[in-house]
Amino acid sequence: MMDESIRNILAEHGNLPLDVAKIRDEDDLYQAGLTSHASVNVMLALEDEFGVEFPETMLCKSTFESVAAIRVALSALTGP
Amino acid sequence: MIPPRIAILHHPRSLAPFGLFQAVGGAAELLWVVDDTVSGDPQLLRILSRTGTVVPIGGLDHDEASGVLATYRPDGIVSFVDDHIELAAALAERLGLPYHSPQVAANVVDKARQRVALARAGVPGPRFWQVPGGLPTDQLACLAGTIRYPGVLKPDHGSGSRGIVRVASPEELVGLLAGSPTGSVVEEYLSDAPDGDRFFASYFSVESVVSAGRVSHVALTGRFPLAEPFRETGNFIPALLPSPLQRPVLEMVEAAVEALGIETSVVHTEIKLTPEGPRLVEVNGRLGGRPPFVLQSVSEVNLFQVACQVATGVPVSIEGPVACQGVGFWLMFQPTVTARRLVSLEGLDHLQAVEGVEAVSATRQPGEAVDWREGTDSQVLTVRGRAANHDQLRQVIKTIRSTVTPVYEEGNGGVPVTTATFSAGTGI
Repeated sequence: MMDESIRNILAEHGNLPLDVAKIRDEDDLYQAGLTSHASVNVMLALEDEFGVEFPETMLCKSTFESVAAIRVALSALTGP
Repeated sequence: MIPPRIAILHHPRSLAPFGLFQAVGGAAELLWVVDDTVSGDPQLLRILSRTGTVVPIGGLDHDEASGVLATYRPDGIVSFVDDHIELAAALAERLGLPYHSPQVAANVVDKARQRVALARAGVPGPRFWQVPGGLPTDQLACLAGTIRYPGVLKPDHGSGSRGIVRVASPEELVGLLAGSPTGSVVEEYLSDAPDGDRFFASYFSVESVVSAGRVSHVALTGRFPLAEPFRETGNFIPALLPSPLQRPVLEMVEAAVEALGIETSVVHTEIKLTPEGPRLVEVNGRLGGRPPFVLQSVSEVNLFQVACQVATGVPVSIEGPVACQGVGFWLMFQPTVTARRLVSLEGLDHLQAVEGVEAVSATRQPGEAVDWREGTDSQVLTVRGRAANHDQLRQVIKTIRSTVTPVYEEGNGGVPVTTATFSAGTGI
């Protein structure tokens, strides 16, 4: 469920030139075309979707570098 | 240690707030100084608030704005775009912060004033002619007749290659400027050095730091050939500059810094290699837009943090040009001058697999309008990465260019035409 939401948000806000379905969990989203500007939109959409706020320590490139990294960050914020 | 508070004058063409926040990496607490345009952009306001403190100064004069900013107790002030350098200088003067004085700020953002100062100091540069705005056509024609052609026409204020075109004759210049209320500069067109490597451009930039009366040259940034008419297609660090030229070029930058009166700033200076030797084209009294990112990818120098340090008045000295691990690059695909819309970026899916490619950013989506008049910002695709050396860089760039092909809808009939962006006007 979380993965599906992450991928939906990436598709809607990531401005990626590729089909999000073709991106594997560990693929580097920046290498795949995620811009700094788009990563902000993704971050804000994730916050709205999951009702969380990424703390300042998580506002770094690595938090949004892959679907897996986003999942780890969200899991830490939403709890088990 | 408590990080310094740095006031950043936000501008739509400045570095993206989130990217800048990440690049500064906690070395400074950011105060985003914004005008009224931000209040109409809740998304931007939200991200500015998350990465720093928003200081609204919209509608305030310099005295009022500095009064508001003073309550946030900034330790330094900085602008990453020419558009706000004079405002930053006005606020810095009122707040007693180390920055360009208003006179120096005018020297670095007014192209005509800058060229006069450099010429008076004997810094080698192109011949130039000032064209005031609002000239009656007969006076404009008279002035145009005194200029040597071909020339390069530039607005007297501006950056990012916007509004820069080549002019071939007095008639063409009059046609372009008749009725223009704003001033311009026409520079002599500088030819490329005859023995240069045509795969790379014959111009480069020097990234320097001026602090406590000392100029440190941090890096030399090479360039890929321009797209028509004068749009950048990317850069790489370190530049390929013949060793005997390095010292004279750096001394030229030092002479320019002194001529303009720059005392505290990161400086980005563009120099062209011509048949007559190096010629200084322009000094920017700020961080260059892309070189800091490239430098960060191949060295331990973070120019964003350095800019914040310099802004506080802390003496900064860097022994440079600094050592680099390989060659970092930032390649941009520019639309042709006849393109009006991006149709597709063929082969984009395969770019990730190209060795040396680290990040791909499609800055325009299929269907979006493109316009060369936006200058360097008209780019449709950015590819960043690293190579082991300059020979490998050449191979990586060739592979990238053969892997992806932008397809544009042309403005003269709308028939999609496949165009190799780098085939025209770049000397390749």
